[in-house]
Amino acid sequence: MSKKIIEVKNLTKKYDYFKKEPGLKNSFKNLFKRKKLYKTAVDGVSFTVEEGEIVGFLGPNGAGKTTTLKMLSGILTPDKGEAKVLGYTPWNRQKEYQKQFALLMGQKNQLWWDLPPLESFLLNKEIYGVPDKVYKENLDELIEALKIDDIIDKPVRKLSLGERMKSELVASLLHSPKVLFLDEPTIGLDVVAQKNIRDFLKKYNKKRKTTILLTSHYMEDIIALCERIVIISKGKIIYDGSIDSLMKKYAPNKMITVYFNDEVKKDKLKSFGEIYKFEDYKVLFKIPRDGVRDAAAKILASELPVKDIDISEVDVDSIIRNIFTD
Amino acid sequence: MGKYLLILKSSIQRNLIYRFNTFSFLFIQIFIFGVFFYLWSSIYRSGGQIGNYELGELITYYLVVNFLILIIKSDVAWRVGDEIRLGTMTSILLRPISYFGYIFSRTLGDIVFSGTVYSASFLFLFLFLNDYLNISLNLEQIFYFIASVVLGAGIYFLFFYIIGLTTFWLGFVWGFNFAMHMIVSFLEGSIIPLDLLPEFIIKISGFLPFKYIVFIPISIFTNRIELTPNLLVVPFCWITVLYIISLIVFKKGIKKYEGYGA
Repeated sequence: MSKKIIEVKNLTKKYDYFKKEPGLKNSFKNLFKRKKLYKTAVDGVSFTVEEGEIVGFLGPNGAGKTTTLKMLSGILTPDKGEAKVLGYTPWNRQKEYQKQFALLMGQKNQLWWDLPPLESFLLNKEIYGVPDKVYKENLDELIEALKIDDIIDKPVRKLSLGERMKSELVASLLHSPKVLFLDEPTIGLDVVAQKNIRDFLKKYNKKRKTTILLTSHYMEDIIALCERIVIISKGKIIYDGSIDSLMKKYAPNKMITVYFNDEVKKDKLKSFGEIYKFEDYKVLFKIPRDGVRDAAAKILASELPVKDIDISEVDVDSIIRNIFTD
Repeated sequence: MGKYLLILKSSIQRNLIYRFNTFSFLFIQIFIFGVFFYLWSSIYRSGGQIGNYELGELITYYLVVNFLILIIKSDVAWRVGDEIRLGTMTSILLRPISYFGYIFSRTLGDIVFSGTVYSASFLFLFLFLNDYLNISLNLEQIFYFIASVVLGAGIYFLFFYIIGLTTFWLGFVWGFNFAMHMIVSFLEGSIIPLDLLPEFIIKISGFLPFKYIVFIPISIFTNRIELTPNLLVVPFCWITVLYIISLIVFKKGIKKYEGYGA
């Protein structure tokens, strides 16, 4: 029986802002009379996360992913709803809670800008009260795993984005957090650096059983790391479950493309399955997942002048795009 | 406690990296002093007299003003304002450390660094200009002076920390910050010695903490004021009041914080 680490019930957060009409004239008008407006960033969100899980938060910009993470790390106080992480209410900002989690934001720098990362590491050691021995072990392990031993004594402002991100990761993990919130940890990184960080997180999670909640715009991140995804749109959760069942639910079919040597009449093909698209030398069938094997065998065994056959998955990217555009 | 000490040390290190910055400040402040020096010298030489200040006293006044400005005045309001406006306060709020303690240690690091560098430079200047200044200090005066500078620095820090925190509501405070700096410069006596100002301004400044930042320490230094414990007790009370206000302002303001930028 796994332990529930994060429990969120009905979390709601509204931001207020002033309406600003465009143009200089209206700017002057707004100096004297402003209209206060509200935007609901997170609207009644509920979910639970168990120990050691990696959960991916997906959603377009402004969907409420970051706002949710900010509430769970205690930076924002929600307008309504409850949340418990490791048994604590995050926005009370108790020291006991703060010592057990970390939030890493890909777009924010948490290291001391003018000094080498090592100084920031030492500072975190003091802030979190990490014992010397644990600090040394963790630091060695992280430096080794992320291969950053040659950069930790260069000033942060001189590091590349990838190097800085890795240093940020080390800084966040020195106190062995039980829960890790990652807000777009791979944003702006090249493909290799992205993969490095992904592989590292996967290993780290396996070894330490750290519960990870992650948002990302990169599907590869999510597919590689998360068994479970939560899709959030306009502040509401619209899907919560495994990637597999997402595929089954939103993409119940696979595509079989058959290429022919000769022209083939369309009615001859109807018996093999639903035709999605038909061209002179090519046909696309839309076949339910469990019927794909049989259908392909039947096509190959038939007298049709088959040149080539191709079975493909509808990719997650386009499924999610479809969900968002619906 | 260790974490705050380490922040203080890192802040000193940061200053060491940007030595050029430090010397630019030193240079410009000595330059400004030089301008005042020649201005007042020629006014006095042509027979002018400002209030009951001798030339030497006036020059000493501005020399200590420039010294205090270099040491006490920090960018705390600007720094706090930017951390709120740009959302960088987030990384402190997340961690088991008090924001006030963090910003205080950082500023104290700056002060320790600049205090060392500028004290040495100004000591040299004082010795160099000794013929003009005729300063005579006794031990009691030195004690009162140092204590009042420390208290004045506390008032300055807390007041501008609170100004910085108003960013929670105002969103952007550079203009406000600048205006407050000018007003405070005037009311603390950095621009003109307070006792040369009209009666009603002197009265107003009596109800405010600002004269303890510059005017009172200098009056102690130039021996123009009788040394009584009140010179230290009153600013200490102001520090207590400002600290309590800062706690309340932070507690209310933090509910408004949104951690912009991500």
